[in-house]
Amino acid sequence: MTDAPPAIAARGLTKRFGPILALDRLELDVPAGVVFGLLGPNGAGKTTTIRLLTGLARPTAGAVTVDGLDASAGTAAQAELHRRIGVLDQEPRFYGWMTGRELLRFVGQLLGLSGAELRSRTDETLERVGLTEAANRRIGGYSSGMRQRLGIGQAIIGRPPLLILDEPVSSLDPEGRRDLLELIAGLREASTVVLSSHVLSDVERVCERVAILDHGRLVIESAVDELLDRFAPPAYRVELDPGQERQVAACLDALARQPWAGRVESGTSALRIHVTDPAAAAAGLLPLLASSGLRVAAFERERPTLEDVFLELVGRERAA
Amino acid sequence: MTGLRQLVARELLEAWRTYRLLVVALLFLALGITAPVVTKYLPDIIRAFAPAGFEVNLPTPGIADVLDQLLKNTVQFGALAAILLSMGSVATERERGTAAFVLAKPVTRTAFLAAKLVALGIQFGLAVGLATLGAWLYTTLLFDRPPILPWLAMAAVVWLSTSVYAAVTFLGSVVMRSSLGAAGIGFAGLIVLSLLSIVPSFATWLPAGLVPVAKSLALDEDAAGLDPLLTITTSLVIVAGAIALAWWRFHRTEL
Repeated sequence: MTDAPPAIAARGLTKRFGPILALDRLELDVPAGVVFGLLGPNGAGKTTTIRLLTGLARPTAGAVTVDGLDASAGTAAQAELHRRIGVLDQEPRFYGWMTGRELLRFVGQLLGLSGAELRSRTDETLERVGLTEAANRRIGGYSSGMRQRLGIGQAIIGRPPLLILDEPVSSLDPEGRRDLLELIAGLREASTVVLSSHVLSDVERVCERVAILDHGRLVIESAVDELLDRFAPPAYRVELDPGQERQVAACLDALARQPWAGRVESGTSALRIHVTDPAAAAAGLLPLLASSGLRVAAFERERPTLEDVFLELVGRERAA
Repeated sequence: MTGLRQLVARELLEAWRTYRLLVVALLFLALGITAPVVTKYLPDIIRAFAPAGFEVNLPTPGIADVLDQLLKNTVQFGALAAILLSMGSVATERERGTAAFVLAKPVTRTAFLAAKLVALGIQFGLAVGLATLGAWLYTTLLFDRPPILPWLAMAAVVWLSTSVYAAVTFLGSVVMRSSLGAAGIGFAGLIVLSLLSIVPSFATWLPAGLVPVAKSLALDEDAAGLDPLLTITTSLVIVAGAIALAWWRFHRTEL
């Protein structure tokens, strides 16, 4: 993190839709120059947050500044705000009668590009998002993945200092996802990127910091590594030889009595054992497996994932 | 207004690509051409189909009759076209999500609305212009050559008449969430104004009064009982009021 002013600063940001509290006094700083993940289950308030950041919705209370501009100030400051941000909507909608190239040219013109610069920027963007061959086809005939890539293209053509991407990889095939994540990772040099996603492994791959929302409230905001260290309980993966149902049952029974053992995911040929006290588990787990009479094919301490943290924190929040 | 030029270009390109502009232009051109042709040959057609021995006495048609036919066609069809073309201008973009896409760019909401109004104005200007040109050419061929400037003044008044219904429907398109709802508001406006025009004292200054005003302008004569300034001002006030309300509402709408 640097001492530079945050790219986004939300203070008491609240949004109500009638009786529904979609966002509850959000306090959030997104530092400049990072890829920032916005996580949360459906209805957590991610898309509402993004609409407030982009000025397309107005807060019920509180304020948010984006790249130093007050995004909650109403329509007056929006043109300047939108010059500085590139936005990809969750379900990108474009004019179906336009071609991909025409749409990028149109957006480029709105951003003030013209002449040779507009042409070269359009070609370069089409190349970056892998749509060069489909550039002169009508968008109405694009697949959802192609529309998503075009959506990324229109968001980055102006090289904005801040990119806000709502579920950018949701419609992409694995190859497209990999390419796009590499593209996003490569953008951090020039832009701050805020991305919301359900695919936690993708977020973990590209984001330095994340905020987790649930029911419109901020559960936590932290660097991904800190989060993993603090909240992700380590887990052990135990692969078993087949035909040991009795021993597995005995093992599960023994684990349930251990204070250091947490949730256990059991399958026919493997166990995944979450632990709450890593030191005690390291000393006690292998003897416990041996005393249960299990024949172990493989034993591995797994690196905790963001998904583990997410489930832990959201579960804890809901229990509270 | 940030982005206005690009947005107007996009609106016109869409009207062209979706054939809206072409269809409306050709229909208005056909309406313009048929007015003098029908006026000229209708008496002959009636005589040709009259029963044997039945004598048909019809006055010789003139340019005033051409204008009656032309104005009836263009004003009635113009109101319908104004509603159909304006009903989706904002509502459809909101329904499809393209309004949010455009307004997330450096574009003011004022420019977004203004571009649509300018594009509608250009489309109706072209349509009414073609109708007037077609009518003028065939009137010159079949009757006498009418003076050009008075006919241009008439075209401007017909354009204003379509603008009234376009502006009311446009307001509906901003207020309602669907283009059908917007069309409902447009048709309601048309019906209310038509009903009010039945009252003789209202008829002279409501938009329905634009028809006799347009005719008197084309014939370059003062028509008794008309107050062109009042009639035109009333229509301009309706247009300006509808646009101002649409602007006010749209600036308070979340996308």
